[in-house]
Amino acid sequence: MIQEFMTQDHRECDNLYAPLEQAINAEDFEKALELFVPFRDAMLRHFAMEEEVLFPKLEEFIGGGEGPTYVMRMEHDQIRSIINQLGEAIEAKNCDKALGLGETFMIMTQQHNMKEEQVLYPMSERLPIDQEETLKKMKEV
Amino acid sequence: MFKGLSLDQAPPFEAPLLFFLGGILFAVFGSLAVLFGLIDFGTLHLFTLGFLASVMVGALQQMLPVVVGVRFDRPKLLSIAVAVPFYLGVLGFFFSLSFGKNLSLPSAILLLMALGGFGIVTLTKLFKAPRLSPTVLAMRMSVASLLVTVALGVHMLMALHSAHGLSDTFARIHALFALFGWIGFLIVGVSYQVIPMFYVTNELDEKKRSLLTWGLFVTLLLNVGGVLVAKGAGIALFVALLLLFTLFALLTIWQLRARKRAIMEPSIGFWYVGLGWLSLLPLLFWLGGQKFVALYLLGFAGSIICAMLYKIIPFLSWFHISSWGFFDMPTMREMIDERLAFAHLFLHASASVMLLFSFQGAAALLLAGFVMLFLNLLRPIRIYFAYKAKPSPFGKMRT
Repeated sequence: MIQEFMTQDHRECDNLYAPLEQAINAEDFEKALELFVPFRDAMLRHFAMEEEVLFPKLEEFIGGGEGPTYVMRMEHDQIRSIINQLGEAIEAKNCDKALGLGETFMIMTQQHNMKEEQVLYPMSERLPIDQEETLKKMKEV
Repeated sequence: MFKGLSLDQAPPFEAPLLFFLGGILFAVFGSLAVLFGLIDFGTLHLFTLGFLASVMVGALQQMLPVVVGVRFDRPKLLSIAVAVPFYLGVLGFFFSLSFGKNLSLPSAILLLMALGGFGIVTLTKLFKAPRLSPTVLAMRMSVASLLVTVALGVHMLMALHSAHGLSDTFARIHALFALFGWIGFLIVGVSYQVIPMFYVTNELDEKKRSLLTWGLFVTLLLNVGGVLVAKGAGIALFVALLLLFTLFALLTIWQLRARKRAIMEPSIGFWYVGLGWLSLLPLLFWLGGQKFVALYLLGFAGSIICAMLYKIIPFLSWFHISSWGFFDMPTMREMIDERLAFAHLFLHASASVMLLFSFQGAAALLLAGFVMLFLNLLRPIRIYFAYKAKPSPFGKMRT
């Protein structure tokens, strides 16, 4: 349940990024800025669902410390930083910089998503947490 | 239940980098050997072991924490402990087969230690995966195939200078597991994961991917059975295996063509070249063994490896620098001169076509291409070490 929902949310964020990259590549910065806002918001909401609801639930069982959720939070920080820089590059109409940041964002995010989809979400499905309640709270974020 | 799981971006860059650079140097060495007319089993293994297996070992070391959530302990030490006997073994093997030096016994022992040891540790870790995705399934089949390949290879290497000579049956089974099991399944498994994610494409549903993976594995085993018991009936089974790989190649090409990230970049070009040759396997088979194997190894697998290296090396350089707290480093795209990477793609694609006509002509192009690959990848590596020498803004310990 959580696995399916969150994996689908990853794909939806990817789908928001693809046309943004196309607009940057075409140097249509007005459109790029328009597309950037919903993309950034979707990414930040996904992180918030995890950091505010899912990770604390998991940490009740697996602990915090320097474990898996700690590493995922660190990577969220790295991705947030790239997204901010990407927004600045679009505003500055710097095509090369924006495409470079976009590519880096994409690979960084995908390796991060792989870890979540292969390890963290399966973990959340197998731990005795209330799936429906957790999902409901995540959707409310 | 989840004891020992870690999502840390292990290992340190130097650990897989040793295998990536070692692999490219062996590709240069192999191309030189062919250019000088040395076309034999020794040279073949400069490519299969020295180039492909080396990069694949590095890639597995890097990917395991991502797909399985389990890292190798003491990764730098592991890299050295595997790389030293591995590379000495490959060189010994080459000089045994190509120059008649009697180094086959020490080479066999060194290769068994390196690849056998790495394979057993990796397979054990793959069985700890919390989720059996088609990628994990294909990786298990690949590493299991590596172990069979190594066992048979070592046995044959030790028998090389004995009175019994080489067993044709063993050689055929060794080649089946090496080409289609170890190399084929690893690329299939990695592409299930990487293609939809890196290029934003549709993906086959999980059941179909698992079915295709099992279909490939069962057909491979049927081929092995065919070699063992029904020598005459082998061709139909072999063509069936090739057709399944063609199906995989066509499905992946279709995915790539419908990708949502429309930008054309060198790595996509390398994927197209590799998958293009893979899709032609049932036709290439009729060209004869040497050309078929060369196109499978360098047209298909070598192209996919280049595609992955152009992504992995700049990304890891950027990632480690970023995790030390720096913000001013170049992006991945700025680390590689795209025009030079496209020039390499052109050279590599031309070389793969040239393999149809002249191995030595192809070797000249491959040599230029692999040197170019090495030079293109040197920049992200230099940037990594330049930042490593600077004091970190976080004051974070570096491994």
